[in-house]
Amino acid sequence: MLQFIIRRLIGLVVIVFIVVVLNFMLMHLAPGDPISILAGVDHPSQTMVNQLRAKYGLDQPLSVQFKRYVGNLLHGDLGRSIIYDQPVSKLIGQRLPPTLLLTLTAAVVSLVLGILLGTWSATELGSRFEGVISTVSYTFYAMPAFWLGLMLMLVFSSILDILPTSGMTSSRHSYVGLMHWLDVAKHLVLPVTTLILIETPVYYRITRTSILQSINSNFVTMLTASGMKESTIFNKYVLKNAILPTVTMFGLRLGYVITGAALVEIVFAWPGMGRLTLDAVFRRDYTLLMGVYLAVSISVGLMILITDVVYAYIDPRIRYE
Amino acid sequence: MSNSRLPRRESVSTQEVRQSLMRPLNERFIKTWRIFWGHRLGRVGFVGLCILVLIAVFASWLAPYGQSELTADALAAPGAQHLLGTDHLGRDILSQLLYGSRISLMVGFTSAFISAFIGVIIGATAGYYGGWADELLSKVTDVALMMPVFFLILLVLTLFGSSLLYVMIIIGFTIWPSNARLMRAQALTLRERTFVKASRLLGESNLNILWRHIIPNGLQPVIANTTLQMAGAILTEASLSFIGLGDPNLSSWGRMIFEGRGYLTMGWWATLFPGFAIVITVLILYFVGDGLNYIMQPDRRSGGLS
Repeated sequence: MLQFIIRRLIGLVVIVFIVVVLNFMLMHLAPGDPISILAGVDHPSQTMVNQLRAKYGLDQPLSVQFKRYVGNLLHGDLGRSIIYDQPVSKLIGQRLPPTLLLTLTAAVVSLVLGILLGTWSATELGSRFEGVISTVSYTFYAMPAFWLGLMLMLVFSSILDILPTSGMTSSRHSYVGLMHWLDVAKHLVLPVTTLILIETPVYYRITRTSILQSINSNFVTMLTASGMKESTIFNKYVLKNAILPTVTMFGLRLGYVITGAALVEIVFAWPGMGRLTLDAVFRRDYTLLMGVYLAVSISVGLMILITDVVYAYIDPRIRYE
Repeated sequence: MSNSRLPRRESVSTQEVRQSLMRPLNERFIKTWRIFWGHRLGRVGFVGLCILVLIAVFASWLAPYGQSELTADALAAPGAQHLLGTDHLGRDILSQLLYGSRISLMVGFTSAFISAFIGVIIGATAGYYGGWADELLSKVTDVALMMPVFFLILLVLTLFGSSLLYVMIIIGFTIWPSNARLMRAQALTLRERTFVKASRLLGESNLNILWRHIIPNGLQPVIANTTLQMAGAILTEASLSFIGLGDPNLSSWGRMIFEGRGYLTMGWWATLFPGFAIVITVLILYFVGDGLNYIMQPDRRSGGLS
């Protein structure tokens, strides 16, 4: 098991390195010059431009810049955001936890919900319930997350006025202790619901398909012939086998969920990476955007690693691949 | 061996061969088509896709107003004058939706095509050659499949500017991994087939085998996946437009939502209808994909959603 984890960790390091190289390459391939924006449009003086270049280290040769970039990253220094004039790592440190809270809550709830609904509908094949759920799941799967968020906001905040529109906490009150968490939970409802509605269909479909597949497999026929009770076969054997593809999917989807989360955050003004990304895109803050990409990649990589370990724990075959 | 008879016989036999090859191909196509047509969702999807393409082609005839024509009333509610209302600048929503179908379909087709091209080449190479090439390419594919590519797309578009062409290319360049996986699996089984082994024994070059046998015979799963990729590309384009990284000169459906968002409470129609258009289009593509996947299922009893 330890060997397995170490192997996966090395994989993660490789991924992070690729992201770093990509970041660096893109930055230097790109047209445009942040310095000229920073210096202002109307004839910046050469001294000022030179000074700014020196301040951000843009006057050095590429190899030196790359070495310094990697060196800085290893020290947790992701550079300085030009628009906020703050270290990128600090900004991300503030914004990553809310995003991860949103992403993980949504992902886990969707997984559980998807497995439950998928199992149920596989056993009720052809029933009315199954038809309705399949249609609904199809429709939600086709929706852009941010649009669904806007629609939920329109209905529940603007028309029904029962849930807060935006933010993570009420701006009028500053609660402490339990009340604070209740307040956060209330603000979490709409963004999380949006993500759950989009993500659940994925797990629903894969659970349903794999249960149908394993019900039809030979070992089930064999067990049935041996006279084992049908419910025992289902709970003990079919379900266990069918859950595995769903767990695999969980790891594969994390990248999508965090993307969806970022977009939904923008809709609900959730103070996470989404808002930061939006600002960085609008004001062309490349350093910040690169930091966001790196941070998101590492987060996803780590989450996938954890999923893999859990998966290897459930399915011993994986450990010895 | 009497060589003298060969030329005459050959001319006859080529014709025969051609005919006997053509007939099963035609029959096979008709048979495949019948299976597809027998799939309810696939049928719905196909008809829907045809209608969509027609809408895109004839948008300028169908639209009651010009592409970005500013009418006198801004944020007019849906009614007789404007069936689906107008946005904050007084543009007719219905007309914009009709024109927008062109952008969405173009993004879908182009990105999915680029993705299929890259995915097929990488997957076929990995699966056919095996060994270290497979090891490397599969690793790359796995990584690319799991990583949050959306943020990479954002970075690239922010750096290089967001024209529709860039949007289509960068989406195509980031969604190929699923195609590569499908093609690799196909190549792995195909390379063990007798006709491929025979070609190798006959001295056909690897490149030739890849191009003439492996890729054409293993393309079907990729084609089915392509419709899903079109749907994905359309959703991604919408997301990019929503962040403000769509082509600023074109009002795609995503951009309409982006612009309508500020007027959500005053004019919900400016946000609602573009979303509907996206959902319907994506659903249609899913349905077609379902139908195509259904053809490949050896056991055609279950609906087979994923």
